Amino acid sequence: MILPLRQRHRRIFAVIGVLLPVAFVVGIAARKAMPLRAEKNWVTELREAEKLAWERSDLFSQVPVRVRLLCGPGWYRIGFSAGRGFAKPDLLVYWVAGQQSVSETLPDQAILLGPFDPSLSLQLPPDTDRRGGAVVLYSLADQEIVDWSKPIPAGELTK
Amino acid sequence: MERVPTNVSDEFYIGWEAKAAPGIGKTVRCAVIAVLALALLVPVVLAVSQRMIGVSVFEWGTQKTFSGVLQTQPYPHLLVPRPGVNEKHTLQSVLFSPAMFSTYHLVAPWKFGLNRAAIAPLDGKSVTLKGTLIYRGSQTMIETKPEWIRPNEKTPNSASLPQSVALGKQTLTGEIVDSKCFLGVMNPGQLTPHRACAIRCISGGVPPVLLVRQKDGPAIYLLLVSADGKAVNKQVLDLVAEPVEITGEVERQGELLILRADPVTYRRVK
Repeated sequence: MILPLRQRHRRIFAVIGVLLPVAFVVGIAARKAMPLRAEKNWVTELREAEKLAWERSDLFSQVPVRVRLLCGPGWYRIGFSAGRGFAKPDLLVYWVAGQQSVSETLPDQAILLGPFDPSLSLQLPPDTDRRGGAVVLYSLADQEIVDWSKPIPAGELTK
Repeated sequence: MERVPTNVSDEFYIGWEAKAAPGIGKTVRCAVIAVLALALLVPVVLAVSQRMIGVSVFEWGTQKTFSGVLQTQPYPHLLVPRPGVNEKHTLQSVLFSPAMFSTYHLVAPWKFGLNRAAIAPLDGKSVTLKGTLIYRGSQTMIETKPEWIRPNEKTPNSASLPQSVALGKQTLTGEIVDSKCFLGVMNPGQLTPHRACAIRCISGGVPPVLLVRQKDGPAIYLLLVSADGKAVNKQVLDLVAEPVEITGEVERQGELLILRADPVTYRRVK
């Protein structure tokens, strides 16, 4: 009696040992994936004729943000990429033209470029290549300056 | 006389014996080593293969004060003026966004939307409110209460408030999520594991959002309203956390994207 029972148990366990992992894997694989939109995002801008001038990760010292400068015929745009985990509420990007000393409040002459969004590049003011300036990251929800970039001299924009 | 077969190896495990039979002992040793190896390997493989959850924040326990213009349609939100706006420059720099105001969604504590009837008298007025921030990417939300919203002396310039811009008829595929959990109160506040919570939040009045994930680019968030602009919380509950296709009129109101469609036309993607 014992031998047939043991043989039956061995067969049952062999079948279950294979079936359960297979059922688990099939169940995981059969999950319905959420669809991805492959078309161009109509919210993001068209990026025609733009060229990467430079990309720097040393402009900001407080936050893990890389800055890239894109240029086209007669215009400059800056784009950003942030390190994983970087999040600030309602983060806005400002341009402060010329040589300004770093302050804790947003200078009056700061120009809003737009929201901080790695999928967007933001156009710099028209006279940027003559005066240079600095980029300021400002959290409107926290009402505080998050970081102030190193100065970007005019020469760095035109070279 | 019957002969006992001599080629049968029928080892038997006896618990009180100091040493197991050689065959059983070898099998058990191999099994233990294999199970230990699997126990180490499987968690590593499962952990590595997990999708990363998004970066979202709920500043639980921290209250801040915000000032702006209260809007109750299509769902309660606060328009906060952005300093340093040079309208001419901004219009050419950020496509589709006048960038005059930031938009903060407003919800009530727990699994509830903000009571619109209670804040209706303040619609379109300058207000100051206190609340707790919830944010994810470019989206910002404040958890507040009607009694924490106070009118300001200042009268908003209605001409500068964002106007609705029609973006045409679109067919979009995504997931209906409850905006409060998705933006930071729960993480991950999406997909099947979060379905039961999302249904309760949406039925409690939290604005339902169609989350359209993109192959190249950030996710798009569209507030769902009926064709005539009314809240659709009760009608979307069966489709929450499922892949759905919705065809409707998309419009932009400042930073908000709104999808107007009759919920009976929402289609579950097979």
